[in-house]
Amino acid sequence: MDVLSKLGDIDNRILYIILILVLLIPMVRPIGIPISIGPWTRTSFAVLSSLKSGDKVIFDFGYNVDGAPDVEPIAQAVMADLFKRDIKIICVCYNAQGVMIAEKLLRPYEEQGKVYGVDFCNLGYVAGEETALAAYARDLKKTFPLDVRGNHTATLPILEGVTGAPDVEAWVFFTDGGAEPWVRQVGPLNVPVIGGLITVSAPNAEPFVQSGQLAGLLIGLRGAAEYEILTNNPGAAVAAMDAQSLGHLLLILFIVFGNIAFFVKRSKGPIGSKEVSK
Amino acid sequence: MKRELPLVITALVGLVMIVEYFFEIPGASTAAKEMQDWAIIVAAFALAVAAINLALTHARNISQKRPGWIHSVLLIVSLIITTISGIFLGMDSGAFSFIFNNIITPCGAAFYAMACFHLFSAAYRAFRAQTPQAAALLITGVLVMLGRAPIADVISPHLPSIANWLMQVPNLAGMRAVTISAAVGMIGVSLRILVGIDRTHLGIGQE
Amino acid sequence: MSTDIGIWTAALFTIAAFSYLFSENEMYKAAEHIYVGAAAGYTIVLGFGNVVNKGWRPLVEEGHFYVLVPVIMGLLLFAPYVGTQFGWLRRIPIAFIVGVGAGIAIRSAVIENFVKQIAATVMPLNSINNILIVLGVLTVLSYFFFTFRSTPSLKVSSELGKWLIMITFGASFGNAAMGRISLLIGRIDFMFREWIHLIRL
Repeated sequence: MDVLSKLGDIDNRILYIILILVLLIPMVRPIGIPISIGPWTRTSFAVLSSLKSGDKVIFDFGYNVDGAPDVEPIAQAVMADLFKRDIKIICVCYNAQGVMIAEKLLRPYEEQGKVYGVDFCNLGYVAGEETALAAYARDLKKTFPLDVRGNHTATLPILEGVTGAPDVEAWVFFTDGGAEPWVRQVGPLNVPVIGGLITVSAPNAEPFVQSGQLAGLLIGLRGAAEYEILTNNPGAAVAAMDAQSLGHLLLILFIVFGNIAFFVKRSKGPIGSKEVSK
Repeated sequence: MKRELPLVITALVGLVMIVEYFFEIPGASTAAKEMQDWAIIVAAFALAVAAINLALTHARNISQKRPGWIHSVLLIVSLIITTISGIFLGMDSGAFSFIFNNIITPCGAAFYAMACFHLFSAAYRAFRAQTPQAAALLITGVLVMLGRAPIADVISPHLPSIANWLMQVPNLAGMRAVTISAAVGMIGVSLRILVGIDRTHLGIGQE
Repeated sequence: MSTDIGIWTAALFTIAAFSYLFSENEMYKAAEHIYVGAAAGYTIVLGFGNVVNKGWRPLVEEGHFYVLVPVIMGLLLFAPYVGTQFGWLRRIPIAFIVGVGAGIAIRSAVIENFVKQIAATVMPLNSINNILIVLGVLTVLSYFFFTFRSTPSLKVSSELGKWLIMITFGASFGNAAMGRISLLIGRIDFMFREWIHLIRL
């Protein structure tokens, strides 16, 4: 019982080291836990796999580097899939940091032969968040007269026939915030909207999926791993899933042991009561 | 004039934006689109204001040699180097890319990732099922975490279904109610701003 | 181990940031201030680009003189730096932005966050899940009726709503925890794959 009550007094630094080791070891020595596909990823994959070669999709980068580890794998997985099927990608940026993030993700494909302005483009960022989104969802060329490379957007072949959201086959946004700006501004424009969300925001977006305002959701690193499996392109996200599993188990263990220590201390009488009243 | 003019601007502009959306009035659509464009231009200037305020605060730290002024020097120097490299060398230059990829990205990611350590520490020391409702919260959280981890299928094939059900039924219901309530709140606050009752954004204070 | 100077720089900044976990120290403060300065500089660069593309170019190169109005409004944001007696001028561009933002918020929130969400709740009560969803939405909404006089039925409904909110927040907590773990995995992946080459894909 003494050992159980002392469980609550372990130094934080020891907890941190345990955490790092539990996450690191399965990344160095993968276990290979099978990954099942969730309903949200299946729905999103169904929408995106119905696209044909030559179709145009808008990628809206709405995340910062802070949330990138959870969201960027989704962008990478979807981008790889769409480029493999010769679907054209028009990048816009809801967040300022999205400009450099998009350029970083697009560079390898340009080196492999994708042509800027024909197969993809990066229109950049305009300040204003939802106000800007309301503007560029309806008129891309007016909101972005020049792209990030200084080209006049009116002259880009990929934007021929594209004014706003209704002229593309899908709008895929990636965000470390909520899905609501896109639900409000892009959703009403008669285009399938798919959200690549940070895991934290997933519960808030569920009502919009059920109501049909969002065509699909890809949630965090797990969603990226599922998409990689569905597209037969396992990568970094799949490789991280073993660590994710063990991390979850460790957190649950911490909660359980912490509560056991707490209740044992509380059951010890006057000292336990003092702990509760604190 | 100093108080009334901004309030009139807010009310008129907001009215045009709302009327354009709900009614077919000639010219309203064009006016609304131009206003959105103008708001983007003004917001671009606002980006710089925040950064300039930051620089001025730290410049004051340096000039008055307040505690930690050396760090303020680092901040100002990195701000100047980043700004010069981005504006004069271009965002696609090696220098700007280096700063973004090797300073901004790792620092931002690391600072945010620290929350994981604090989460685990809090889970160990503070997440207590002291009341039945707290227990319900913790149990739901545990089931969702367990069900969404790939290892759930190994432990039990029912766990992923339980987690999905929790997300798609009770969570959906709760979040929908929160969304509807938040929408009512947002509409209320926006109306208060447009009619001039709420003036805190202008630094005038409430009526 | 990597020999790339960029990766070494990133790795050292990551270590400096994480050093806070053990104690606040000079290395952490230095990294924090350098990061804030660089991020602020990045914002200035983007803002400058926006002002040139959306303000200067249409005004000077294309002769769209009406762009002078938002440019002047944008410059008014800097009025307090000219003199405190001009501080009130900053309210004009703020009023404009807030007016546009509030207008956009109302018009979209009414339809997308309110009407469509209510419409989606009106569903056939032909399954347990549908019944639970409809009841759940109603009970949680009743919990937020703070200005209503409390009746026995409202008390019961509100209590049920409170329990459902706990379950909702539990789901949010579970997802938040998962997200945080993913963020740390990302940093560990960088440190031990790109820097130290211990992890191989």
